[in-house]
Amino acid sequence: MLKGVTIGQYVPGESPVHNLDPRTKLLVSLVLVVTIFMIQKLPGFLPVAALVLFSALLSRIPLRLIFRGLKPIFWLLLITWLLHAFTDPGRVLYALGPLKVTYEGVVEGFTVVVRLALLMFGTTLVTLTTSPVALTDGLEYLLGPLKRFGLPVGELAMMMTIALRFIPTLLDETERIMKAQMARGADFTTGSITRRVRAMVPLLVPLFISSFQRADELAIAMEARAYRGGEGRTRLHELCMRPSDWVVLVLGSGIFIWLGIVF
Amino acid sequence: MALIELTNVSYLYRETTALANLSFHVNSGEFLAVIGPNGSGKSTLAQHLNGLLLPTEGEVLVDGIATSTADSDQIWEIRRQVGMVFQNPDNQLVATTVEEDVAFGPENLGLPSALIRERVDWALEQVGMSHLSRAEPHKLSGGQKQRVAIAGVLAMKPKCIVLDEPTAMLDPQGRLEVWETLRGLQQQGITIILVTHFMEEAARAQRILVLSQGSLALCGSPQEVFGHGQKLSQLGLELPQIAELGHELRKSGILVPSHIFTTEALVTWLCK
Amino acid sequence: MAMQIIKIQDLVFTYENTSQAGEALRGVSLSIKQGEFVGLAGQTGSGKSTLVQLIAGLLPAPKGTICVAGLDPSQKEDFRALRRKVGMVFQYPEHQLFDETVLSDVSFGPRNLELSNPEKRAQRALMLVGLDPAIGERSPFALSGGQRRRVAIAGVLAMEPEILILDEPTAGLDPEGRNILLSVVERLHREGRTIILISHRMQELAPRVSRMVVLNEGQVLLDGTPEQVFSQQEKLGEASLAPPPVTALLQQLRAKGWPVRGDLFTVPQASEEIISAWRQRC
Repeated sequence: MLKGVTIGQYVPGESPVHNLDPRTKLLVSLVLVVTIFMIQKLPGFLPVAALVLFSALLSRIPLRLIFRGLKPIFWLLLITWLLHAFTDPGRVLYALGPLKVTYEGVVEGFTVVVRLALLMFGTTLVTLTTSPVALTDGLEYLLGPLKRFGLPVGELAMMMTIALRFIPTLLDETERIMKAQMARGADFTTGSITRRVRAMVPLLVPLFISSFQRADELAIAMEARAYRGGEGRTRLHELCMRPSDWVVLVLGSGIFIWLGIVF
Repeated sequence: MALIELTNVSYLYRETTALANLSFHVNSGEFLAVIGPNGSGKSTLAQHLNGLLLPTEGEVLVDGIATSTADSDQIWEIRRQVGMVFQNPDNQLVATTVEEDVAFGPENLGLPSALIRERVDWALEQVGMSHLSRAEPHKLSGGQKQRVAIAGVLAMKPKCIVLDEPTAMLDPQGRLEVWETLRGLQQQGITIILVTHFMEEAARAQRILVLSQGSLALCGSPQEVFGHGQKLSQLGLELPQIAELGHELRKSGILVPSHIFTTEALVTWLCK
Repeated sequence: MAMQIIKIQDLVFTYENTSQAGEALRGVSLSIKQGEFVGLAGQTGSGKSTLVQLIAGLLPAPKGTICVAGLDPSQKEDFRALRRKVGMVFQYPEHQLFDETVLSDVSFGPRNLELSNPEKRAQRALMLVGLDPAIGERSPFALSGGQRRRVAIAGVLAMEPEILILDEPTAGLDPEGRNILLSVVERLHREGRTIILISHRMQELAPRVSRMVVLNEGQVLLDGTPEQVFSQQEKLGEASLAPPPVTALLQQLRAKGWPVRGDLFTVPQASEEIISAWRQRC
């Protein structure tokens, strides 16, 4: 029952977008985020949306997958828009008793909605085309300079990797313990909220105990394999910026920044 | 030549003696099995062999260097030379793909990435897992996971591999895979120390060390050790079925030599 | 004739998730009589854990029919009643322990089923697995590995199931722990329970069970007395199984013309057989 869960949403594939260095994707999407917040006029979003859509098509990822990423925020978007439409002061378009829909509200609400949707669309595209491991590597590199301020970047990245490695294992284990307790008559699905929360104890306690056990054993195994922190570690897959990465990075950031300034 | 040498090693853990005055040595290229009932100190001993644990008293020498050395570079060199594979295959794989996991050790050694690539490809070939280099560890079978763990150790080019009950959680198929991998390694001159509670596995080693309550109960070739059937059962250990049968037959005057403990050997001897 | 307590007809089960596809069942028919001691064997992925989980009602409804002590395990309404019919001991069952004391952990099942006197039942279960009921006051996490496992089994027995399924109950134990556990299982059988024991160790199954079922690729490959099953060397090989070493020895001697039986599984039986044949030859 837990098997369907996927971590991250990476869809493996071969496309110009997939093949970009994770750092390129991270940096360009960072610029995109800034741009989206810089743009004040509604028409400014058109070229941005066109560029994001173009990258999505290039990635050959079915658009419905990306739109699925928007689903969880659909209601948020709708409510945001309605709130703006009804509460912003301005020219009244339609009055419903004490409630007034204003022109400025509709436009402002729409701007916020477009902003949020583009934001989600862009970042979803990055996570769909980049494996969690590559993302971690990219982040580790980009955060590298913070090491000087004492941030244990290498260790944080290692923690991310271990988390990614162990999430499927822990899901398997959860399912196993759940079945074992169900075989002892435990009921995880019916009853009041408090009852269900209490029913989780026989699941969570064994899960915690085994997780600590795992952590303990893993630490010993890592030490046995000469792990001594991020210092002095090299990598099998060194990140590599190819010419295409530089082109996308410079051109992409350039266009977005220009759009941000113009609109 | 002795690769690992223990002299009067004792280890106290929470005021109980886990190892008591243990002395023995492991020769270079040897295949040594360590057996003993649960709680006899097998795992504690294993973790002494590469300095994961340090003796309370006595000394462990690896290639002439004491594991209790204060020089941290030497400790890491000992860890590189004596690799370890643990019981639970799930709890020793670190990375999200097979090849990245095998690369973990060499990465820690700070090797250049081209050399890591070479080592990873070589190690995966040694354990017959090259075709699954991009697979995710949690999708592998138990035997495959243990082979990846062995490859991860091999990629550090060790002189010796210590395996702490590597087959305890595997099915017969997985056990066979691990066993065949180990045999291949031994032929390449790598010293193997196998901690196990399967007598059938110990029977195929060159030398067996029997631990009981932290001290050395028996030590010798499988023939010598299995000759002490009664002592072994007192220690809560079980002879391989055929060795036990040989013992029964001897009692009734059929003088099966004590070095026979496989089905084939006994059939041959009985039919001669 | 004893009543058939488990009736399975044309059972087909596939997992939605492809990563478990190997564990699917592809048409299994099997009946088990009350009081039988069945050894279930097969490679990882042969479908044996799927089969026992279906019997224990822990998986969604399969195709085909399955009837356990008059109940349909896939019916949610029967779930509680089923718990008193089938006890399922998973691999490494000690991992399911969670409560502060042994007694409250073992009585978890009876409390869930709202049975009378859960603590009494728990104490009885502890005695069944050969533990001193005084152990009930202790924390399960302070016990040895072998004791923890027996406590976990007691947690299933406390619901007093008629059928007990054990999935590799001896995995990871040393010979002494294995022997204690197996004698507990034997006693539970003698007291009238139906037992299904999964194991990879044929020398553990052969001398104890009254019937062996071997699964391979989601189908029943062999089904019969241990004598019948272990004489089918070729088919056993298909499932990557081998008879116990002494049985293999007797079979090889027999092939060489020795007047010995090929269906004995224990060292004392085998040695007696070889000695009498040896004397005849001399």
